[in-house]
Amino acid sequence: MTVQKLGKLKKLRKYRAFRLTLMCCAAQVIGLLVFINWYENDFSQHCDDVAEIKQGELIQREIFRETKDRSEKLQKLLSTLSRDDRVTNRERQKWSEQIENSTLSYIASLKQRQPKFVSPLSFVKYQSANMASTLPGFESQGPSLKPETSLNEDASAHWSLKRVSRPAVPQVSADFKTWCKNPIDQFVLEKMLTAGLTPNPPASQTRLARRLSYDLTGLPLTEVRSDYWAENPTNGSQSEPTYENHVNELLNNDEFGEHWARMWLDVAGYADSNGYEEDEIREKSYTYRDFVIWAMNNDLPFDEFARWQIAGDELAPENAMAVAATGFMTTAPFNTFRPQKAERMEELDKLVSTYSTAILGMTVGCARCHDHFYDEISTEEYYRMVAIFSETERTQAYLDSEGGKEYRKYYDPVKVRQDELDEMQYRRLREDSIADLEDFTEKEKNILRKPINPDDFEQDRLISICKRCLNFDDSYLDDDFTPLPEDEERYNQLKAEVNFYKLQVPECPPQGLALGGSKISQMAILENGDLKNKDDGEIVGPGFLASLTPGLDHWDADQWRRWAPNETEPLPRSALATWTTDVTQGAGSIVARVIVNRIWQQYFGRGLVTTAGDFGIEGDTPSHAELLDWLAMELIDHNWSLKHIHRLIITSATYRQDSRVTLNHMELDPENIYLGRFKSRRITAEVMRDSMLLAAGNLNSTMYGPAIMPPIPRDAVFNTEKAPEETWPIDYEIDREALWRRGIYVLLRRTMPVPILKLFDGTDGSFSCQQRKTSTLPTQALALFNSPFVTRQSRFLANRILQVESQPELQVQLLVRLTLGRHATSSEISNFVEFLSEKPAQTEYRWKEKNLEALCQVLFMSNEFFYIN
Amino acid sequence: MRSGGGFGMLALSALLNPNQSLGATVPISTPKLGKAKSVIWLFMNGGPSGLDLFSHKPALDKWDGKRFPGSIKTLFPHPGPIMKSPFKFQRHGESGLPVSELFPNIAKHVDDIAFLNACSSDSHNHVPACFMVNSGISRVGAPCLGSWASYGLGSGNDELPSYVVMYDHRTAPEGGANLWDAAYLPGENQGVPFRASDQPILFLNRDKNISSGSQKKQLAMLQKMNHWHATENPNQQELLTRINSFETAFKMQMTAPKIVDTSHETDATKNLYGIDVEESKIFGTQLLMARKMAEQGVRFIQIYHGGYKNNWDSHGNLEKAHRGLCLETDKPIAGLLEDLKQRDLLDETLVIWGGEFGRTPTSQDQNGRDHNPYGFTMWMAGGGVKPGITHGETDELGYKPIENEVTMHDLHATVLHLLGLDHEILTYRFGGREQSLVNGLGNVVKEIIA
Repeated sequence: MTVQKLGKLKKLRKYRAFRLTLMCCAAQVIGLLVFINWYENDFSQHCDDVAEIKQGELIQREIFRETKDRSEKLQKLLSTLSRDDRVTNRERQKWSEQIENSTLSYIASLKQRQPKFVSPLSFVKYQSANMASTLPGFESQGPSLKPETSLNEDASAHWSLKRVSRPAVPQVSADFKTWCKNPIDQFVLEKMLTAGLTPNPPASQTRLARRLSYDLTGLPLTEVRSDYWAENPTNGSQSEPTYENHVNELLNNDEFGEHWARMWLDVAGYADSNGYEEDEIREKSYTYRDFVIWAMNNDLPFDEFARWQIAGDELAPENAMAVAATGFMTTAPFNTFRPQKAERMEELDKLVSTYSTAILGMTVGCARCHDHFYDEISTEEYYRMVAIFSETERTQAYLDSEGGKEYRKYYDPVKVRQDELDEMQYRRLREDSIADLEDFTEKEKNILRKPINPDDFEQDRLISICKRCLNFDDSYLDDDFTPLPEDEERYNQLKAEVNFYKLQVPECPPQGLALGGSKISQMAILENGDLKNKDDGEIVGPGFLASLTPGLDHWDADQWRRWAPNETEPLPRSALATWTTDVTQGAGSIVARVIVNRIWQQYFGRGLVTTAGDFGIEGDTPSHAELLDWLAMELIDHNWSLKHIHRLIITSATYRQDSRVTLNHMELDPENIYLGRFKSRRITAEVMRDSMLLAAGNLNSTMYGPAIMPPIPRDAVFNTEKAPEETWPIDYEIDREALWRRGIYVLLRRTMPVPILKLFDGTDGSFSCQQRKTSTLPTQALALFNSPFVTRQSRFLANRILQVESQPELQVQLLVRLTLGRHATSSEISNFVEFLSEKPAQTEYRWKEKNLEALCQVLFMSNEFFYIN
Repeated sequence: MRSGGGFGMLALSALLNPNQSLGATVPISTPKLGKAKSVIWLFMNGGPSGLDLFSHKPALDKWDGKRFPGSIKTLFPHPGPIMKSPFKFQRHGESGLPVSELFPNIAKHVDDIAFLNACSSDSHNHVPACFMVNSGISRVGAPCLGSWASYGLGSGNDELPSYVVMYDHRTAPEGGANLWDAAYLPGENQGVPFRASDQPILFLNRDKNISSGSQKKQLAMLQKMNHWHATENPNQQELLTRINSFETAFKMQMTAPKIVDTSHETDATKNLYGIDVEESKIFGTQLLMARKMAEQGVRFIQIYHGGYKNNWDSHGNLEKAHRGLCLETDKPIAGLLEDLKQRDLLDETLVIWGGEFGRTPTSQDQNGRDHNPYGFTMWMAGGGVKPGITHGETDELGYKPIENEVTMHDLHATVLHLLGLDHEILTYRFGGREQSLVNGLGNVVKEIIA
């Protein structure tokens, strides 16, 4: 394109923007009137409703937890120590309240300020969310009110820059009505049929249960059950567990956060060392990792999640997790050996690029040297973003004033056990309270004791009557109580452990690696991105991206103050955070699209937009644009709950399809764009490691805290200024329980990624990783054959089996269950038994055991072990 | 990321090639631009002093002990006075090109070499400069030249990695695994460290408790299982690719040790590479291995001489340090060139010599030199490079280029060109655009191409 043409285009855009601004002003005046009227009449009611729904949900969750399946005996065998470092409902409730309060006060503060910032649309949106049912349901999803006027309805704008709105759900023909489980399926089906495909049959329960386990917890099944859920639940029968219940249980598992945090840490380019020459370990970096795990487990609303990562230290300085969240902005590698000025520029570039790729789905890095070729991002805007961070610094932030007490709350081993005891006490109290209900019949009481079933209206009615008697605050708690009979065993165990840990509470970090420094700073626009040209560059202050800001054509110097939450002391980083998640006036639309697409990509191996970190003009166009927008609206309307999106996806019929690939698929849709099947995919490096540890009975489920350094071969140790063994453990004999924690806790040193993880496409934090590669290499096969980790875990697995079974047939059956989560077939049994009974030519000591060890390793190496179907 | 063109359509040959993973684009075929089939890169880690090795600057003698005229940027503050080279230079061969007394054997090969005397990079620090010379940016996150070469050419031998890295086992280079990273390129283009030890590739050797027979039995059982699984899950290319990777791995256990095994080499060969001399034994063995690999189709072999310790970073006592380092490398490098020539391989093997930057004309700590990324020497030989020439010139003191500057981007474009790859066509989609090694920042140095 010539320069003249570009100029013309720009003029046109300016004109268009002017027209738009006029329209917007008019819309806002009308909108304001509507809003004031609505606020007075409906808003207080709305708040009450929200609170009530929340409370209802809490009770439901609590009751879910109560009925949580206790039969995971194999799992229990594994962990001598409790893995229940879970955040309790009380904390949860506090969070919800806190988040709720902050949201409401934010809305209130918006209202007090210039009216032009308040869009009536955001309130309409809240209202429509309120009208919809709280649980994802097929029927209840009426189309929400479509905005009458929109601020960015410029038809020619790139799809991702348009404001997200709720599309109509396509109608499906009668033939497929029963197939559809929720609106996702309707969107998918429409395209699938057009592509000449029909849905695959649903996967078998065994297959689906394994898939769910991997997808939600990153761990395989190690047992076989036929009753994870009832295939055809008969209406009214409450004892049958539903698929939805099963999904909810998995979503409430702590393993969920440990698995899904990895996705975000990849995107954030997280690592535990500085990189470059000295590559020092960042001892406190794990507070950010812990924050991400915690946020995923507690379903921290994604908008809050995003804001805290940008400016948690400013927005909620008293909140340890919010401060730890800013670790996101410290992930960039930096040189510590005689650092050069130019290197600071590299770090800032990395920081701004990671923010924009991860959260905005925009690649701004190119604008460092030239106005972005394709996307409307100018060099000036890039340097305005850099200016926001130019004065910030990495700090060892005190996560609170009292020596990290706040932070410690989340993983103090005494506290987590005490919390579980408290929960037991709540259960006791509830049971007593139900038993004491005077006006209830025994039948009604039994209904109350049952797990929540959203379809059970009777139960719903009873809960609403006795809500009060099922909720207890801390004042009810006592130091001593008699647990329910079924809790007794666990109660005694916990009591003993509390006494044990009270004596040796580990040193907790009062500090975390966080971002500090808030200033309204400036930056020179550097020609060619080169620091040498600093003196010639125009000086610019903070700013964001005009193209993601509806109705804005150019970024003026003080524009950013519009989003500063604190008017008296406006801080650019906080303003950036607010702008980022502002759906109506800022980048919120694209942010919602980007994150739902990331979640989708994890489940289906292919995003609705395949370029997960680039929604710009050079990025891919969505395969299902309406579905993407629908999901984004679901996210926004459900208080940015990621678990809501997870639930929608995995309860869809689309997800539940079998993975079988037919010739028809290969011909019409080899890439599975139209989702006529579930696409099988390889497990990731961490999942591989965790799966082997779990099958071998060795997985240590301790959560959080400093990273672990499992031994690696001497040959793989770099930077040997010191002896290799002083740089990284190389003795596999030390590889014991303390190091058998999940892969997410393995220390990631940039110059020395743990070989077995790196080989299987683990990241090294070099860049914001949008999706793991899946390479298939002979060197991976070598690692599976010969790495001490795999051979040792094979041996442990064999021992585990030998302790339980002595008959070869039974050994083989147990082996298949533990590794593949299914029953062995008859041909497998005969082949494996033959393998076990084959005497070596020269009779070796322990040859039978060795055969079993070898067979265990074969199972660990097998395609079935490595692929999720 | 790119997605493949469908499982079914792939030919059987692709199916049998484990290095062709799905999702990777099949290497781009361009009109044959160059002759080289493989690259052997002799990486002199730490920054060798071209001024004391190949780039003869008589003016240094004149200026010796005087302050540098004008300003000079160094890593450490307060540069010392100008220091003349402690070594004698002599002209060699028909081309009459200068080589210092430290490289008597390499000097015999000047007529095969093209010297690039005005190379430039942009970082004063080792690791950023190492990233720059390897990947074209001075931080992590971009694939290395070796990965690009492997990606562009594909593997020439399934039983060996297509990009091999060797370093002194006593001390690995700083920057570690980042220096040979494939970043966003498919995993098979990752540099694989290869050691001159009984376990050349990580995890190549069996656990001492597991016999070869037992492992064979395991493989048979495994493949049986995998075939059952593939039958139940038909039409999934990845599963078949993975089945194959186990067969290849098994063969690798036999092929790789043969590369390391020098017991069958003649004394003449050992002498040629300096393996018979203690100082040059390790580097000589690595270069011999490199030649064998190139012969067997490995695309890119990078050998780091010097690591965290014992490297070319002579801030003090340059004379002694460089003398030792040259003794370790002179004979092996000359031997490699000679051997390649004898085997008619030099034409299709590009040999590159150089570090991440050079050293200053000014002194540091009285008898050392500081880093100089602005003007330094690298050289190339074979692989379609014009022999016996110099290209580029720095000022009379050897600080900055005055003509024919060759940036690291130019160097990359040229190496790809010699391999028959067009740096403007060889791209990979990542981070919102078509990425390439050079990204439009450099040009092929046509003057050095035969």
